Amino acid sequence: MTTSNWLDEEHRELRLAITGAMSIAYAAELLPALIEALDAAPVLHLDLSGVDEFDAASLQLVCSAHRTALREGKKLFIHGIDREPLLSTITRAGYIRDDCCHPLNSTPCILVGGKN
Amino acid sequence: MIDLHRQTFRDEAYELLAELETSLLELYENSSDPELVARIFRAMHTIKGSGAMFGYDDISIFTHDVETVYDLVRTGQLVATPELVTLSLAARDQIKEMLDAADGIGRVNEEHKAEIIAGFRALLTPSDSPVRERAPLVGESAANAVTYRIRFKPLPRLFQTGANPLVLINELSEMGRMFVIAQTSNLPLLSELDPELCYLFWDIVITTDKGENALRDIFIFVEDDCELTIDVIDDGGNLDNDEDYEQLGAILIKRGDLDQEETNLILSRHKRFGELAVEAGLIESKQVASALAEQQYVKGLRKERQTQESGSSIRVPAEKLDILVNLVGEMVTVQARLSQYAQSSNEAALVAIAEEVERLTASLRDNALNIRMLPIGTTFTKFRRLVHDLSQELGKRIEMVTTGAETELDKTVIEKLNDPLVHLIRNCIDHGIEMPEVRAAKGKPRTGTIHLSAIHSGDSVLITIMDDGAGLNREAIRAKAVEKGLVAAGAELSAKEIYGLIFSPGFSTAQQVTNLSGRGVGMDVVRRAIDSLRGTIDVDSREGEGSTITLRIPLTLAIIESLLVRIGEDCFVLPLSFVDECIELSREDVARSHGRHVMNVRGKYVPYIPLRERFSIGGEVPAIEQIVITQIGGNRVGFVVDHVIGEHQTVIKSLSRIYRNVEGVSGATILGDGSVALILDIPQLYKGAELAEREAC
Repeated sequence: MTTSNWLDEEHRELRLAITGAMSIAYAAELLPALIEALDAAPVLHLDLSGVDEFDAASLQLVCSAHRTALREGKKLFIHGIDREPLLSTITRAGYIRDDCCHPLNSTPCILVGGKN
Repeated sequence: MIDLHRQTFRDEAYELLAELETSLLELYENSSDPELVARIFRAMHTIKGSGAMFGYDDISIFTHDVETVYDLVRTGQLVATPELVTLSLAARDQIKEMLDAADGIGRVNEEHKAEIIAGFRALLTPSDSPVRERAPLVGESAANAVTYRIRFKPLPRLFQTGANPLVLINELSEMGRMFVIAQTSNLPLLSELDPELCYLFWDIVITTDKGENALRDIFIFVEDDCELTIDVIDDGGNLDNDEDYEQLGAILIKRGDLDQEETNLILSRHKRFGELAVEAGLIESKQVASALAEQQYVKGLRKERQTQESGSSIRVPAEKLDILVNLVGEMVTVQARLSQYAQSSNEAALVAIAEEVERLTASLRDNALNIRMLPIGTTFTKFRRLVHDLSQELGKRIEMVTTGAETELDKTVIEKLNDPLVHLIRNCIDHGIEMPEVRAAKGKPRTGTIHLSAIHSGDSVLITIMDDGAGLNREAIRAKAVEKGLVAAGAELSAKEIYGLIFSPGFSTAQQVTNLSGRGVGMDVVRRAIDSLRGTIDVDSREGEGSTITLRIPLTLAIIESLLVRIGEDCFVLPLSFVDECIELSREDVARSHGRHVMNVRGKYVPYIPLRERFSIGGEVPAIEQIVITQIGGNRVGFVVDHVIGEHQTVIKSLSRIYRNVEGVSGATILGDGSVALILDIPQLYKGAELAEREAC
């Protein structure tokens, strides 16, 4: 798994691209990257279009990142999950809701078509 | 032997194709009904499978792509668009053509066939995903399939053992149809998260016939690293606790989303529920969602099972049913005699038995009649295809709207209705709806509409055929009637009377004979068919705006609700559907109208027919008679009888051939005491009296 990020000039938007195997083996690496990325700008674009392996550990990381972003009043966009193998993993894992799991927020779930 | 099998396959295939057409036309209107998609898939699957088995390889190969597409629709990866339905209809016709060709009738248009296949292939390419959820066929959930609720809560350390919970869930999905919801209530924010611990847990509802042990086996390697609870929530049979699910299901119905796919359904619409639960601080919204999902799942399962049960049927020759209904009819009669005898015997035990028999007979009767009841919808779909095909032939644009397809009617009635309805609809298409240009010039939408509806009304069904075409041309009808010598040139006719003329034999105003209608046969045939069903036809029309034809058809031909009356020593039966009210007729009333047969009822004059006179029954006329006021074609007419006995369930017996031409009587029934009562043909009596009146003038 490799990560790369771009920050726009005004430091408003950060794009974090992840490629390769996004799995439990790299979860320890991914967590600080996510925390850092969320801290860096008010808007985070998480680009998973290069991910070719996706598991429950990474699923809960993305989910938690979304919760954290909501808590901190930041925006999180997720890209590249409407394709295999991510789509079937997400469906298989029971992420099939329309609204957010976050108890205080009615934003749609980021993994299921939610855009922010 | 082989030939016999091939014949069986052909028979079955033709049947499936008919069913397929119905399903497809339904799908056109309701593209989200999973049951419909499943039905189409099953039909295609069967045609493909048995086609290959009996050497119809071309059909099997052709059907394969269609089946694959519907598999995708079934699993929610494709949407049933109108284009897909049209393409599928073409495919259906293509299969029929191939079947016919195998029989030596016509030949297969290879080009057309290739086009259709290409159409389906085009649908397949974009999203044919490699990993697909295994969703068994609806029919596959056998009766012994049990539904379990599984809570799979891995201990946080699960990941460290190298286990992958998703692999387990995947394995589980191989065992049957299931529904998974991830629970995220333990998932912390990033700052508190240990990426190597498992925070997620899952609620799974699965229907499988493999048994609980097989389910537990899947989790055997993570046994020590998770909390696993498995409960049976539906044992595959009809559990007594249907009600429990009903209640939550009812909530969902109120929100109007019971029929949507189970997944997005509950999860999208429960917001208020979730908010409330969260506000109360008792539960997290996810848990509510999961519980609701479970309710929905089981509900869906039971509904499916119900339709499945009703879908599994046996074929019985119609005569057998007729015999059954006849026997039940006799039974009802004998039971009435028993009840009457028991009442007069004053023996408590006998009365109790008689009451029990009465109750059982009543439900037996309802059941026997119900067996022959079919929804009229099947006929409706046939008409939709008729409209579709004929309008294209004529270059007209016609849309057919149907309502009340679920209305049930006796099978024999539906069969006899088919031809008259075809005639009426053809007339609408041919004479009623104008060409698109003509319509546009008149300021109407270019597409004409034919509205076919059925609705229950008392013990009859009203079938309405309404079009927004040109309407009936009264002058043309009158001119034609004069030409045919049906009416005198200067006769004063009401609109209703003029419309009634179109039912005369050999009547047609069409200027040119098309291959649809206009040959002058039809409307009188319609009239006769409806008469034979004891039904009535009512025509209404507005020139330039369209016409409405209403058929009132009795629900069944076997039993009618009626009013039992007595004249002298004889009992008569009047069909209750005609009866409005009963009032008294005293000698003074008769004197007041100076011998004319009219009665002032709340300020309105109602003519009456004294039945004693009509049937030449002698004997003493009681001081106070009764008038049964009926409603016939919008007119109120009274029938004078000695005494009104009360309502009566009448089992209709047809009269023998000798009495067939007796006017005013449509049949007979046997009363509780064994005596015969004649069933009065009220419209005929009315018409007869009207005619006599006219001749007298």
